[in-house]
Formats: sequence, structure tokens, C-alpha cells
Amino acid sequence: MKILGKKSLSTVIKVFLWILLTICLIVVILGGIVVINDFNFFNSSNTLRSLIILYLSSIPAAILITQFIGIFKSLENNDVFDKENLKRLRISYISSIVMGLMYLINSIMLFLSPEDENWVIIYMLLTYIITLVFLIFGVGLIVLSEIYKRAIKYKEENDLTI
Amino acid sequence: MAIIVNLDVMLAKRKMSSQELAEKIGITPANLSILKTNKGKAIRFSTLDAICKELDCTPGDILEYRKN
Repeated sequence: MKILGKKSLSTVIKVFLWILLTICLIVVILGGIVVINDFNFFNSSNTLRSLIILYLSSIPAAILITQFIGIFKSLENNDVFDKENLKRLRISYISSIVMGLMYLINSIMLFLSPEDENWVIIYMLLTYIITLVFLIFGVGLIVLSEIYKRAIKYKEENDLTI
Repeated sequence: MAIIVNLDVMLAKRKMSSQELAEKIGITPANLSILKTNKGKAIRFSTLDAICKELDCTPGDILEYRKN
């Protein structure tokens, strides 16, 4: 299977990301309605805070997916070394690190004020894993964007060598 | 950039058009235009050699250094 161009792997991933973005938006909206209708969810401050952070993290998550849709769209059009992709990668790593930091704050708050110990330990472990995943992913994207920046520079130099 | 390409001057001296030179040295008119308008980043020795051969000149006639 082709990786770049029309009807390639990039197209498949782009479609998959569109589906993922749609599902995420539906879950955020429906989740909000369900939680508002069931006030028992707010019986603990930890749950409330975790829920708020989970909700807020949907904003950088949506931005991240949107940027990746843009990147795969340009790969589909064979514009691999597009300067716009560099901008998209920068926005992506900022979003990823913001998400990681949001979960980190939540994990620290859970650690400082544990309510139900069993639940908190499981949840804390999960949030630490998510925090690490997003922070490492963000740092990885910083490195990737720097490599991309250099690749664009070399390509421009090559194009302008007559 | 401090390096100036005086290709248009040499073309005028030899009464040759850009299109003609591009065809003779085997590069596209678009690339020759990049060279003429000083938008290029580098020039290959092979291109310089072909230009000098066609215009019967030296690299110094085409390239000039001007302090900024």
C-alpha cells in the first residue's frame, strides 16, 4: 500500500482521525449531558476536579487531532515539505504538553488529597501513565518539528540550486 | 546577499535571449529566471561551465561581489 498520495495510508489515517474527532465530540457532548443529569457524580471534590480536567483536556485533544488531520491531508496531496506542516507540528506539541500538564496537575492534586484510597491509587496510576504518554509524545514532536524544519531548509536550498 | 548575478548584462552584450540560453545550457527558463533575479541559493559548477561556454565569458563576468 502506498504511504503518500491519493488512496494511500495517509488517506486511511485521515479518515480514521475524522471519525475519531467526531466520536470525541459526541462523547464530550453526551458525557456532559449525562453528568449534569446525575448530580451524584459531584459527591467528591476529586471526581469533580478530575471531570473538569478531563473536560478541559478535550480542547487540546481536539486541536491535536485537527492538526494531525491537516498533516495527513498534506501528505495525501504529496506536499510533504509544506511549511504549514511545521506550524501544525508546533501547535501539536504545545497541545500535547498542555494535556500532559493538565493530567499532571490532577495527579498531584489526587496525591495530596486522597479520598477513597483504592480508587485513588488506580486512578492516580492511570493519570500518571497518561501524563507521561502525552509529555513524551510532546517532546517527541518537538524533536520531529526541528528535524522537519531542517528538512524544509535543505529542500529549499536544493530547489534553489541551479 | 552580497553576490550579484550579472547574467542579464552578459545576455544583452551577446544579444541573446534568456529562453535561448536556457535551451542551449539545458535548464528550464524558470530556473534561469531564479538565477537572473538573484533568488538562487547556489549555482552548480556544471551550470556555470555551460553558461560560460555559451556566452564566451568567465565566471567573474557573471558573478560579482558587492559589500552590503
